[in-house]
Amino acid sequence: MGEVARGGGCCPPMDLFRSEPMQLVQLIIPIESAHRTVSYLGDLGLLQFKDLNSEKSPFQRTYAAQIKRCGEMARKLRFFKEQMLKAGVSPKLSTTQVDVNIDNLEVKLSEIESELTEMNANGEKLQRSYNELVEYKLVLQKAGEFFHSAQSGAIEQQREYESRLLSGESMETPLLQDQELSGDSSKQIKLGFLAGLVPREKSMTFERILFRATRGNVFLRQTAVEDPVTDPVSGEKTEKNVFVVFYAGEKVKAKILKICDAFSANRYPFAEELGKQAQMITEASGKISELKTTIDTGLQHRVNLLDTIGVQFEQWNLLVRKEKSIHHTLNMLSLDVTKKCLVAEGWSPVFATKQIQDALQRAAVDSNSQVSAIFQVLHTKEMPPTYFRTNKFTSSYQGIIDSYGVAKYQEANPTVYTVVTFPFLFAVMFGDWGHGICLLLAALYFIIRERKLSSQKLDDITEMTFGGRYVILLMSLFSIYTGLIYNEFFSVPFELFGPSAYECRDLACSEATTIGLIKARRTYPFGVDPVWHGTRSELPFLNSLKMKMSILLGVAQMNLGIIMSFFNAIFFRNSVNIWFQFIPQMIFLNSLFGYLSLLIIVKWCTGSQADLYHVMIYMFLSPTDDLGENELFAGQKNLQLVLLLLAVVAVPWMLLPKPFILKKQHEARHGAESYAPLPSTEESLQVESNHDSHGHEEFEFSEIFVHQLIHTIEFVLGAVSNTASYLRLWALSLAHSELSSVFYEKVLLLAWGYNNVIILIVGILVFIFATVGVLLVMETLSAFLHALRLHWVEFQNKFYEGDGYKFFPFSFSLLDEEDEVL
Amino acid sequence: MQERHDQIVSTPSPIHHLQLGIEIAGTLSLFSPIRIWHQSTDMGFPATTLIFAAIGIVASLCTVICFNRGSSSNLFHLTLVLTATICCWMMWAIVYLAQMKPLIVPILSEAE
Repeated sequence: MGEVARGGGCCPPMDLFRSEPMQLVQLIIPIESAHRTVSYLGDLGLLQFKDLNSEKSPFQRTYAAQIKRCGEMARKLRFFKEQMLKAGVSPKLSTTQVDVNIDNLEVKLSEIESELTEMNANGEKLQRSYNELVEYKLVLQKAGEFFHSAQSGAIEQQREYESRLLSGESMETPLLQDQELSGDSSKQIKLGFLAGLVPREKSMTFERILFRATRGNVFLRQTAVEDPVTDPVSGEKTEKNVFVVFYAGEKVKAKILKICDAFSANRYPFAEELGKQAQMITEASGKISELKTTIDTGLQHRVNLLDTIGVQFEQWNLLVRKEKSIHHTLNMLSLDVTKKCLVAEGWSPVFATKQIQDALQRAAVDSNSQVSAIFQVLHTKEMPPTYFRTNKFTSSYQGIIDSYGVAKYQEANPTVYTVVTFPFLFAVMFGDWGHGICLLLAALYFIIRERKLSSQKLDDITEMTFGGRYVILLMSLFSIYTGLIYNEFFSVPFELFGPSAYECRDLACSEATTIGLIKARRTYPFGVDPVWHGTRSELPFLNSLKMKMSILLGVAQMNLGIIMSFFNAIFFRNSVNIWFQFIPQMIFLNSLFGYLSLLIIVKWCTGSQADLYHVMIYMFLSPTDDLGENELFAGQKNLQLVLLLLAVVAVPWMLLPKPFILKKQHEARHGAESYAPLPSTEESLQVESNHDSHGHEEFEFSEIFVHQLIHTIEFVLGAVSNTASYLRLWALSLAHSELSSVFYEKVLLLAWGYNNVIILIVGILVFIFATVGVLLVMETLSAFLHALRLHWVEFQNKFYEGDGYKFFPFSFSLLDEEDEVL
Repeated sequence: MQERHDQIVSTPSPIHHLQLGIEIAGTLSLFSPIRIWHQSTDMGFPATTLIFAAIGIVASLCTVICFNRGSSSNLFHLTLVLTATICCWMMWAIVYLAQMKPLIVPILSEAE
């Protein structure tokens, strides 16, 4: 690329037509005011810093330690946010702007973090003890019931036995019974027991395994606990059973213990005596209520702490992110160790010079520095970034154009025309004023609730629709207009602008269905005559009309594109492009397709029956033949010969001269050079990328020639294919009107015909859903896409280069949009 | 004319009732003397073109007066208004010219 031609305009300047003029500036900032300077520049948001330390890794840079600190603080803030979410505390938007020092903030954050972690750990411990106690109490209660019932049963038996004994010694009493009774105490085997809780789903298996492991020599009793119990280990509520297992012997005890552990059954000590059980129950209850109050106060304390954090959270968050971005930016500046200052380089718009200088001044004053920063404009051959100053209306259109490619620095911006032509071409394909009104209502809804919706977090689809609300507004307004022209209101025509032009040939209207009506009155003044809808010849008429309309609109837009390339050539003072690109392109396109447009208009005005396909094709195949009945005006044959000749001449005119002229220009510029200019102090510090411009500039003639050949072939073939591409305007408009009329006739009218209220309601509902789903959503997207394609390809390939890069300044307001989570 | 009325009467849909009303109102205008003059010299095209031009000029003036924000901004707004006017006029003109001397006439479909 050659020099960046600082072009001049032929015409007065227009907003948004070309990107803002940019300049490369160099700032020399004393170290003590560096942080503040960068902070103020971030508030201003009009300077894009260049990375002067790009060859260094992130860890080698000057401010890596500070960034690590900021990262730590960010981690702590994330932790707080998590804790707040868990506790259900939401961070409030603080209205008071308390100035917080970043060092104090760091200390405060670490304090709060340690406090919070301690509280969490303590809370967990307490909760665990609480759960264990609750389980213990349950065991005491339930197991106590076992013993109580068993004891009472045993006492019953004993009493019965004793009563039998006391009732008298008789000869019937067996002798062995005495022995059994007396021998009881000496041969008593001590039974041990274990009590605890086991999860209910494992209880059957537990019982079975116990039985098998101990060969049936244990006695197990279980009861279910009604409510689910919080397990101390896992912290979840599970259904459990209380069990008591009686065993005899130490080995059996060991086995039972292992089985209990395997089943994660918690065991608790249990005393046999009734009195002691009661005492332990009261003790446990007391401890439980104590623990409960402790836990509650602990939770309250935690919630209070989180509340205080919540009040200041957003502010701290913003501060930490600002600090991080400031240090990232400071890392991009090169440290001039001898002069104790930092050197910054960046792109900024020319209009922002005063504002930047003001910010530097303020920063120097605020940081009590002796020296203020130095502001210097550098000269460079690099291509500057592209910056368009858009408002909320034009930004969505600029976004659409930027999606295809960001404009090269100061080339003509297609957005200026796209603002109108894009909704217009959409409307040509959408054309129904009923649907247009629905779209208008949707767009107005978004625009009226603009302020509220822009502060909310919307999901992807709604966000895209909201972002394009002004585009949709214009689309709907143009759709209403084209709907009135096509005369379609949900596919129904109206006679709004006067009487229809057609009437029957005779009073009996006998030939209306065979030969048709005749045009008796003046042409219907605005739009398509309402009589056409529903007739047999509607489609032939409308197809012919819409196809010719598409060609006319297409040729007009392509001519506009070529004229834009003319404006570019004038701006960049590239006369080669004017004489050897713009003029032959205009001649070629207009001698063929401009002539076709002319023929269409003449045919309409004269009502001739000439076949235009025939005319165009035979213009190429046999241009010298007599036209006969296809003659539309006198001298047509000669005109066609001239135009054909011009078109044929235009092709080598586009192809051949330009490469040779470029070669001559290059030789004139660099041929006589035997020295290279010395790099001056005003040059950028990053000289290595500019080496090529000093030395021998690469000029491959064959490359230029092939490039020009490709460009010419693209244009010549593209002239035909792009013109035909515009026929999609016809195709989609036909599809839309056919779908619309199908839904109206086959759903609504059919439902009306039955004279039944229920069928009518069902029919109306189906009609509404079909209209909204198919026509308002699918057709809108479809027409949007095709109109976009027409702009991106057919319009822009006539002039747009689109290989620039976007201006992305260091700005704190852009920071907010970057990442919501730190 | 008769048959069209029959058509309308046999399929009574609400929109057709509306159309009938508008048509009757339109028919009454047939008996104005201006119609005869209009029919002989089709003045519709130049007249309406002038109307579009007038609307365009009025809209441009309104934009410049109401949203006056510097000459470059004004030029941008004027470009938008001008482009919109030209697009709308082109569309109207194409549809109008196509219907001035038609080669195809409406052939009504059989009454259902």
